[in-house]
Amino acid sequence: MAYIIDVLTLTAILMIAVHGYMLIKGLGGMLHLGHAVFYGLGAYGAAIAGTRLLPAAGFPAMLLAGISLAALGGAVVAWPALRNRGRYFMIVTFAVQLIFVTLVINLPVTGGPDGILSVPGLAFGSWLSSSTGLNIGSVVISYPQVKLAVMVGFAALSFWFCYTLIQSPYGRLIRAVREDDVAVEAYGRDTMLIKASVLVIGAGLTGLAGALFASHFNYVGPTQFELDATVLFLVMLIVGGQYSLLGASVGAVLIMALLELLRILLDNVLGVPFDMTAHLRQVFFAVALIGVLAIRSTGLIAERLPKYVLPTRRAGEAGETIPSTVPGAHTPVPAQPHPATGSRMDQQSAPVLTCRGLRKSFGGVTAVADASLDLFDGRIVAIIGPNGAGKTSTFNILSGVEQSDSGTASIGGTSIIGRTAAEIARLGLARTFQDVRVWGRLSAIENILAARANQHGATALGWLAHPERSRRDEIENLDAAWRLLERFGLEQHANTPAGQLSYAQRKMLALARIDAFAPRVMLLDEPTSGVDPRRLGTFLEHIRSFAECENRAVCLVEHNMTVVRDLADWVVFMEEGRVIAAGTPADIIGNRDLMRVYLGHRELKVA
Amino acid sequence: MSLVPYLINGTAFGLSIALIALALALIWRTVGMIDFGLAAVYLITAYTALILKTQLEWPFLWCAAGALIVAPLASIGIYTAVYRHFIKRNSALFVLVLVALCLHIAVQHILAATMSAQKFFLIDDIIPGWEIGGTRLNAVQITKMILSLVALAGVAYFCHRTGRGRTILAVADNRTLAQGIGISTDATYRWTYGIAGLIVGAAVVPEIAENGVDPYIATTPVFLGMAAIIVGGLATFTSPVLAAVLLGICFHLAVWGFSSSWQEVVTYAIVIAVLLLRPQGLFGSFSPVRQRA
Repeated sequence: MAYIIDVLTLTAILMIAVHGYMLIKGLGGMLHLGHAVFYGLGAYGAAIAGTRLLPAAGFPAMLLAGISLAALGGAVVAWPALRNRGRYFMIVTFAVQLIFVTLVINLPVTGGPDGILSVPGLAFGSWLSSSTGLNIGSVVISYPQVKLAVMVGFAALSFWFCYTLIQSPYGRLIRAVREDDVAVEAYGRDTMLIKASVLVIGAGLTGLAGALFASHFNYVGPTQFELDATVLFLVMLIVGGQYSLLGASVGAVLIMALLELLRILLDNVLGVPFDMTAHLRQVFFAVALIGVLAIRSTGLIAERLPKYVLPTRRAGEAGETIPSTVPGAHTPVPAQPHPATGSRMDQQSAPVLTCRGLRKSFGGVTAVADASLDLFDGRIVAIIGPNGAGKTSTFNILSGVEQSDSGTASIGGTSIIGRTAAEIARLGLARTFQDVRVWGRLSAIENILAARANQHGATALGWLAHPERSRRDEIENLDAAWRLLERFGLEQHANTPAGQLSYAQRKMLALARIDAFAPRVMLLDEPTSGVDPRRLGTFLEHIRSFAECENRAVCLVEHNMTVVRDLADWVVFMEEGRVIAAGTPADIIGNRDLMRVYLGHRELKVA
Repeated sequence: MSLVPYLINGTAFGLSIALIALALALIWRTVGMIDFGLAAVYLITAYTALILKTQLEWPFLWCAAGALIVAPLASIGIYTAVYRHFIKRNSALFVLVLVALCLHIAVQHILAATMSAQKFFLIDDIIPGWEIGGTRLNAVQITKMILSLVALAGVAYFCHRTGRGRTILAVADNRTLAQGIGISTDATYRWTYGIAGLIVGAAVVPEIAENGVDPYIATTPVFLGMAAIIVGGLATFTSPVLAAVLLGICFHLAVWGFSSSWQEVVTYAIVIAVLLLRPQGLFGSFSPVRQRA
């Protein structure tokens, strides 16, 4: 019985560590190969605090020390590992894993190769682990039983914490970063900060597990935190399901159960010598992981998206009066549109976005040679030109995805040159992408919610410090998201993962998402390409409404001249990275020389 | 204390690591995976030599030849039996790395469980040596350096002067285009793993002659080989080779500056520093996500 209690206690501890791994790898999508380091930091932090710094009953402070040291470790790892969009995360965490054990062996404070002995166990007030047990009336609960109850309690607490985090606006944003961090930055969020925060939280939670482990065994040593331990956590996470909190929990229990069965098989049935069993357990981990990755790489339990229900007061409206198009969709474009310019200033108002002489080269290829543009509130400008003319590259510069080599650009008088995509988005510019780039494993409504700017709970601090305000914001945002879905005809797909929508639906979702962000300037990169002609009218009405009903400055890259003629107030023609003409749609599309360049570009080049 | 012995020993060690780095780079650039499974090939090769020596009592050179035959076969076998399934499914880099790492762990612990974790030596006699630059180098160490240089030159010749080698370079450069002109990626991958296995074999044989065999001998060279790729970059195949020599020297200079127990900390700290300051590598561009995300 004592042995079973011991195994269950360890299972509860490991479950907490796997929850931390799930936050980093499953939720955050970071390819993490050094989880045992955070576990070890938690264990050493608690052990050092418990044996050298704290009084005998300092168990809670020991845990805090473990959590803090591991969280600090997470923050330290985040800096080198998350630079360059985290491309080197796996390598850095693996290198840290390789360094860690050598480091603790060599440091006097960690006890060297011998580790730290006599780590204090549980202690609450005057009750210490050295006591015989807890007396509750006539019932005496032994120390191991108390310990099991405490560890299970911590595991339950950890589950609740992670569940709440995953369901929060912050958790949703982390998943969006996992799916496509460039698109998240285009909506004004600092993805490095989001990744770093989830890494710190995951590390802290794993540190808690490490601290509990130290107090459970009353010992920590370097060999407990080697690569093998990371592989054990990985097996638990991947077998259970790396994208599911429940999966991570089940994985920990299942692997521990299988290990015990293996132990019984090896020890009692096959009579394998003791010194072989540890090695065979490692073989089991490795083979199990390969097997699961080969058969079902998502693990036993798949990710479950939160289900959102249309509020009752809106459901009736939705059933009867959801418009298939936008309000005011049939308002015609003014017969004589205000002259938005390619490089010429509007006579009546100042441009909201202006750029001059933008230039960008990639190696020897000049993508943008000289791009100038003015965008005005309530006006639509279309950029046309043959493939390779520099249209999307200009969008990339204006939205901060690429930095220009020279030139100026400003929004509302504030320069955007040298700013990040997130900073530019916060100044009021948002964009869509040619290849759509919805967050595929977020539902349609989550795509809308994650894009909305006004979310107090979308940061770790906001969510942790002001849960009530986060909840209030979420209710408001949900209401607004449902309205948007209805407006764009997507309410029936609200809970469908965006990656499972049809291409046209994803295009429509991209329009709804950019509208959810409510930017002053919208850059739409080929918003109607690949859309069925029968649905084209709906797209045009939505785009027109952005300018006419919401007074946004809209700029679109477009190849369909019918769309350009129908929507644009002003057309800018680009060729080989330069703006070579600008005028009304009639001027540009009616110019046979320009159209020959556009349509016969290839033939002219060949000639 | 003179630096020269550390530099000489570091260069010798670096050349040995260079072979592993070259094998890793070949697979990384061609197949697009970080193949820690080469550590399994390393162990299989080493234990083949040991078994031939202890069980069949072959002379050392015959054992070495046997091991050199087994190394590429083991590498191709692992690709065919395990990796191919994941590569065909276009698995993510993380999955491939995990599978390769698990293979290493599985083989290491199978050997530890069945063959004993103790170290065995293949050469019982005293190896003749000479005093060079204030340090004593024995015949095996010198052979190791010469063999490393010959193997590096041999791989360069194979890749640039033979049709099959050019095919590997073509797939490494642009797999899709290579497929488009009729190159079989599966066959190219087999060749790549075969060549990588042979290179690993060339690194293993002199190493075990000098330092013996145990289940844990593969970890340091393979992980340092990976470190060399990160430090050197993957712009050309010479980049990781140069970085391996540099790391080998740093590995031994760490003993000179600190103590032998800090060798790994110093070496991997260099890796992290390079990732911080010049993530594309010291000698050119480096991308761990060239083909797979």
